Amino acid sequence: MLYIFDNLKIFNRKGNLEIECQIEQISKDLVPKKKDGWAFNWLNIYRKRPETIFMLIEKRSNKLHGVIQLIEDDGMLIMELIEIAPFNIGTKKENDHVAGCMIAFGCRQALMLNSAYKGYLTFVSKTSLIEWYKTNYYATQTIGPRMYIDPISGEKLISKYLKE
Amino acid sequence: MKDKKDILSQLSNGVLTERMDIGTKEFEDFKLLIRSKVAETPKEERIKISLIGLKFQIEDYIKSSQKTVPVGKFVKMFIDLLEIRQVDFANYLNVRPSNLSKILNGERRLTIELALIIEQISNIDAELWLRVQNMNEIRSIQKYNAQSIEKYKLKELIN
Repeated sequence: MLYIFDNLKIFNRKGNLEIECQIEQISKDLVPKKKDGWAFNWLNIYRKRPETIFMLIEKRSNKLHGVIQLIEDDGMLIMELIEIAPFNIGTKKENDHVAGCMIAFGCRQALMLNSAYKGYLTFVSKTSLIEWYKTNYYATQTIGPRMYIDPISGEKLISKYLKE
Repeated sequence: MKDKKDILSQLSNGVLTERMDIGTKEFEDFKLLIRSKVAETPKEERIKISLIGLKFQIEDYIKSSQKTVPVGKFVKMFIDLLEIRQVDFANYLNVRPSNLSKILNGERRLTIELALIIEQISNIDAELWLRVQNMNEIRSIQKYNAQSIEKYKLKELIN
C-alpha cells in the first residue's frame, strides 16, 4: 500500500520557518547515497526490499530529510533502520522534527498491524541514544538496547508530528 | 545555553538505530515480552487501540487509489474489533439484524444517523465513514457512467 502524508512540517532552525514535507515510499532516484554524506548504504536495502523503505521529503523541492526502514517479523513491527540527512545532525543541524516525524510514522504503521503486537513499534537503539528515545519519544528500554514505543505513547507522537 | 536534550547535534552521523538481532534467543524473549504487554492490556483499552488503527486504515483508503472497499466492509471490521456479534450490535442499536446485514453487504447505504452512532462509539468521525461511501459512489459513477455525465457543458448551457 502506498502512503503519502501531506502537510507534515519540520522546522528550520535558522529562519524559524516551517517546511512542508511528506512521507512516502522511496523511489529509486531518491535513494540516499554515501557520496552525499549519508552513513548507511541504502541502495543495498533498496535492491532487496524497496517496499520497506520510506522517505521524508520536502514537498516543494523533493529534498530528502530522512529515511526509515520498517520491517515485520512474525507480525511485530521493527524500525530496523532510521537515518536523518547529514545536514540535520551535528553542530550545523538545520532542521528539527525530522526524526520525530519518521518515528511517529512508524508508530502509525504499528497501530494498523493485525497481530499480537498491534500498536508496538520496536527497535534497537544506539547505546548513546537510549535516553534520548526515552525522553523525546516515550520509548521503553527492555532487554539490552532493545526498545519499544507502546500504542498510547505512539498516539501522542502521531498527534504531535503527523498532524496534517 | 546548549540544549542537553538535543543529542543529535553531537552525533557524527545520522543513523539512529542498530539492526534488530532477529532469530536470537534475546530477540525471542523480547517478542514474548511485547506479546505479554499486549495481553495485559485491559479489553476496553485494547479495543480503543484497535479502533485508532482502523481509523488510520480508513484515512489511508480515502487517500489511495486502491481497489474499492465498500463502507460496509469497514463497518464490519469495526464490529469485529468490538469483539461482539453483528446481531448483538443490531440489537444494541435497536435495528433489525437483516437491515444491518444489508448495510454491511452494500445493499443499503450507511445512514448519517448510523455513522454518527458509530462515531460516538468508535471516536472515528461520522464524516470519515460517509466520505468512504461517497467516494466509492463517485468513483463508480465516474467509471461506469462517464459518457452520460461528460456530455454536459457550461458553454452549451449558457449559450
